[in-house]
Amino acid sequence: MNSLRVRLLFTLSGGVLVVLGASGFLLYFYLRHVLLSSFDASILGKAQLLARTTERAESGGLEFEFADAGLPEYRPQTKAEYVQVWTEDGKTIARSPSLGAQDLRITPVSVAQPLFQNIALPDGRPGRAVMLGFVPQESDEAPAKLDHRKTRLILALASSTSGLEMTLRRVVEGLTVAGLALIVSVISTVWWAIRRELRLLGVIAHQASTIHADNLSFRFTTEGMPRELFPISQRLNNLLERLETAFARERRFTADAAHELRTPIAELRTLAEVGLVEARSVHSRMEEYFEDALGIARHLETLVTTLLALARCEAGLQQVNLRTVDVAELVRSVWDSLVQESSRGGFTTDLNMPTQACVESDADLLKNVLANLFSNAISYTPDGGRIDVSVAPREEAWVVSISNTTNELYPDDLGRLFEPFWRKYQVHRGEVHCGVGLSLVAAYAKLLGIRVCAEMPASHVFRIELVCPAAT
Amino acid sequence: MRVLLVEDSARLRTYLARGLQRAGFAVDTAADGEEGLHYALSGDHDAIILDLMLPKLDGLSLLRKLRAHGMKTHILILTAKDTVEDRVKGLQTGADDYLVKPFALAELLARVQALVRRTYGIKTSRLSFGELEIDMARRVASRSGKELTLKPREYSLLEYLALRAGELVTRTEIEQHIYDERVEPSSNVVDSAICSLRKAIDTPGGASMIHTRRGMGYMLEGPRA
Repeated sequence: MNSLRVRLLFTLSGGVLVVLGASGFLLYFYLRHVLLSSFDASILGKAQLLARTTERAESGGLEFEFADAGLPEYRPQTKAEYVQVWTEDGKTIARSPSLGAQDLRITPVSVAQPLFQNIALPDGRPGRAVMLGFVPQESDEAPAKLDHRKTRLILALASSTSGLEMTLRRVVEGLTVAGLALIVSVISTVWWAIRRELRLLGVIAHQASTIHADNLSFRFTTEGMPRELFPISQRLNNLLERLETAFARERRFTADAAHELRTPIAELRTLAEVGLVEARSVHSRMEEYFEDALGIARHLETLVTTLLALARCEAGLQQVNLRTVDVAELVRSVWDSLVQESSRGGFTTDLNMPTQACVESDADLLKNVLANLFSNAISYTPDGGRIDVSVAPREEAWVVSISNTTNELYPDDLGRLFEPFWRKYQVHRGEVHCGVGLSLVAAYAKLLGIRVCAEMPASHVFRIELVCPAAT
Repeated sequence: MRVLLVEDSARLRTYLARGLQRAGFAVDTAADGEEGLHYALSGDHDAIILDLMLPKLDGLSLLRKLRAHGMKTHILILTAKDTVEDRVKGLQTGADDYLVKPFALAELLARVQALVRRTYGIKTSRLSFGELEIDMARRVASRSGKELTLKPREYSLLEYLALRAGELVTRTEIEQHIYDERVEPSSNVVDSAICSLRKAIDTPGGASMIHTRRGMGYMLEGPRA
């Protein structure tokens, strides 16, 4: 039964009931012991009294108190107690009137200490007997015969234990009734306590069941939460926070991907539809249509290629061929090639590099990283702005630093800079950038063991640094 | 009819504007939100086509500003954002229609034409004035069931006058709603176009359906079906 409540109920109730049961047994045996001790003390007292009051008479015979017809407990009608006296050799010398001609079902033994034993009384009832040895008192009038003085007798006194048994039965009955009542009350109390104390778990479970992808902003309350549940709520809240961030990033990715893909498709479709209409009358624009169609295809190709490269990196399928690469030479060659290809101008540049800077890297992937960063710098630096590129040693690494003037970026934007499709203003800038370049930079850098730091060291200045491990 | 197209994608802007012009619309284009706001507030457009993801001022903010200025022009949002939340947000902010990219040009044109008709309180795409009938969906006019041969500009002028039938339409309004390019104040292009249109639609020897209110403008009159 996989229910916390039921398991707790069984465990707690079982534990309490075992303790109560054991206590009941102990109580019963203690009471039994007390009653039996009291019973034994009572019959022993009477036996000792009888022994003390037994005298040798003038005639030389013995006088027993129980022979006196005045004592009701020894009368044959009452049959409350039975007394029998033997000589040490087992010869019966006296019986109480209650015994009549019968003997006690006991074997007389000469004992130094009183001996108690359970016996069946002559009338068949259960009883308990005490047996003790004694020397009868000599009366003052008795003749001083030495052999008589040395005679040691055995006295046994038996009494019915029916009253004791009855009392013990009552005790057992009382304990049983009390035990049953306790079982019911313990189970009820434990069940109530469990339900009450585990109510918060139920509340948490209910709240958790209402959480879905659309309300990840929900947080479990930690106020008034028991100490044991507090860390659970806190961890769940932390988990929800991470989930909310991941879902938001995923939603943004989906929305941005949709935008990036839908816009060129819309361009292509509109171009084709308008082109079809115009083709029937005006042919001079065909070249323009084909050029644009090619441009859109190139943009889509770049987008899909970059997304696939990103997916390959995330799936761990991108191969990396590490070898010694002169990053200074690579920076120069990538920069020159991009500047030549770019139609943009209107900004100043400064390249500051050593003659050689050897790093341990994959030349192709590193080239891709540099091309992405330089292309961004060239595209986003406003007219009149400045781009600085440098390669410098730092500890066990070479640091490639690219900084450019920006009118669009703010420090708050840096956290989302490497998210796929993130763009300031989320606008479409044609086929040059597809919004996943920096994501690919981050993915390649991770594969190459390059640390990427993006910062804004001054207002309107954006800097990105690649810390490349130096070749050993 | 003059529409304003606010779209940041240069290619889409160019081809969409071309498609709209071929459908008889005069088109103003804007590449960002601020330019779009400027055009929208300074021109008299029959409809506005608005992208949402725009540089400088996003589409929803632009829409909010236009409605805050009390602008009644019908606005169609044309965007890549396709979730129900986006559509609801766009319409609740004040848009009159919402179309997701990529789209069929024919559907966009039909929606823009519907918005223009709503501007003039007309439900169907067919207008009749006695024997003259105008099919706005096919962009053709006919008299007594016979299709008339009209140049695109003449048809646009006829459609505009028909949409405002019974109302005095000034030359300036005609220039603003029919012509792409800005017309010189002293130019007589409107008068010439009216003259050509009269020749095309009026019965020879009969009274003209287009009446001139000297110094004020023109009015299309006729028994409306």
